[in-house]
Amino acid sequence: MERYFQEEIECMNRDKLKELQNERFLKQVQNVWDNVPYYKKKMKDAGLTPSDIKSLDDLHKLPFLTKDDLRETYPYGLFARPIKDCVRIHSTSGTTGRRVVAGYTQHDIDLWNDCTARALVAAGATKDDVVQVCYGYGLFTGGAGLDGGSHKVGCLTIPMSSGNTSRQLQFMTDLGSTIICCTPSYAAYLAESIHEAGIRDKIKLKAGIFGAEAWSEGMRETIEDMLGIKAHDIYGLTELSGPGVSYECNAQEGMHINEDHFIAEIIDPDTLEPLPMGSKGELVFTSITKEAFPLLRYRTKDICILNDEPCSCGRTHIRMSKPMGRSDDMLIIKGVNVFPSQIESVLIEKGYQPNYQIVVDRVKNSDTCEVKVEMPSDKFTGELTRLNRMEKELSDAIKNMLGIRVKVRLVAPRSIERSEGKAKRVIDNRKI
Amino acid sequence: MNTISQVSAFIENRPGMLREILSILSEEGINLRALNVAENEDYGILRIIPDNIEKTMKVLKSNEYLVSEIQVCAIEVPDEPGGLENLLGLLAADGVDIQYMYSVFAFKEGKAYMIISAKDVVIMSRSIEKNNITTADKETLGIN
Repeated sequence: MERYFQEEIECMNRDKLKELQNERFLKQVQNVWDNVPYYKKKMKDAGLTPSDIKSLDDLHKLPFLTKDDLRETYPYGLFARPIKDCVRIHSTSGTTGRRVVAGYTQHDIDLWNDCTARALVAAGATKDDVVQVCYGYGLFTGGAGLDGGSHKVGCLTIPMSSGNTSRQLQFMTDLGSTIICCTPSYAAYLAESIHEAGIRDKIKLKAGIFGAEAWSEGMRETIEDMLGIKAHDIYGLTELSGPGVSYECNAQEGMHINEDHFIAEIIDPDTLEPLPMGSKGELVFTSITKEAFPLLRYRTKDICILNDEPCSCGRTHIRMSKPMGRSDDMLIIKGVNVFPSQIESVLIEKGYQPNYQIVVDRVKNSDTCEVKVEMPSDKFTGELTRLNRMEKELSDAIKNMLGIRVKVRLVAPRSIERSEGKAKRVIDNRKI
Repeated sequence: MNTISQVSAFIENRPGMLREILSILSEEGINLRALNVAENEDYGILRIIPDNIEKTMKVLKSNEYLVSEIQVCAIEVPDEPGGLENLLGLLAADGVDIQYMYSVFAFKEGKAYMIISAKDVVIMSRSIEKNNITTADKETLGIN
């Protein structure tokens, strides 16, 4: 039998849900108008006041927000509450100075925890479960998000954070973890380690909640077979709260969007016009309950499809497909958001020309990233050790910037293929 | 201490890359007195002692190779067992830190020649002078 964390909401009649959304949406528009001068100006520039927004049907009139707006208003420019009302900050991975910080009131945290609690219960969590959270804890939303949800459900929560595989396996076997939360690539890595260690029969896992990076159905099958569990997808953005914006039920046919908190739209990324239900386009979210950091019409740049057909699980909230790509050039490598421009800025800072190519691949279910850099002639002295030092220096600087280690490889000048005079920046060989 | 010019070129570690650069040199009538390749996984550095340094630098640059020219030293080594070992012992005793070393193709009247590059040229030069180690000049090696 399907179990729910908040059945009255998760299975709410669509008309009632729409009513609830409408009421919250109008309140949120007024809140933003009153408390966020940056967005108020955007509305004024579009010739709008709150009185022009009479219902959800007027949503499309509102101006969009993008990551650029978030950077421009860094750090507090989009906060709708004073610091005294806020209790937490989370931040997206990315460049120092170009980071995005999102603030939370205690109420925001509570609602966010509800969202991840729904995801956990949909994956079968009860008070009797032992939940091992091996997402990173810290500025990243993964650890805190699933941790909070697990507490709400009343599970025994193990705040492992990421890394240290042998300790993960020891706790998993000693404490009898039944649910695991991490990135899908780490889940695949753990599964392999479990098989290598020959401890498959000591593992009590029944389900996993895996998100923060793209993964294929093939990868799902591998993880499910190797661990004997059901693998659930979860989606979210720091800008909106974190993981739990949407999540998968047992049907595993798309992720239910928590529509009582987030209104989803699909737009054409070129014309910016809303597209009808079932169209493929860019996902846009409006958060209707966030107090500290309420975003109206935030462009996620994720390309996906919405589905409003009733789900066999009984939940009435619409579902979104796995993101099928991006409408910008952002890459997600090892769960970290990477823009080619970040790598470019490191090269320029270190005295290189911006002639480079990023090659991303997935080996044994783990992302690899190589950055080819054309060597400037003035840096070539003919010493091999110096070249190795130069590669190491660049790799360190990129690690500093992105937080992940990439392999830097110097190549001959003009050896990176050009199309129309511009070097091809990204080659993504991952089969997702 | 006599010094001679060495040209280093950056080459990617792919089949045919070495042949390509050598064919460019042979087309220009450039002959090589010594050659060495140092490599890692992805690329190599070709080091050569050409008979015509100016022409070599010019033709490789015009073919868009990354090149650099430095002065190295060719020490004369007795062509007998232990000949090199003795010389290296003298250098080591003076704290000469050798970076790399490779042999010259030709040798004369029981003498071989080794190209040698040290981390600190001044220390090496002092040691060579002090120990009366013979270094080859351009004529000896047939360099213009």
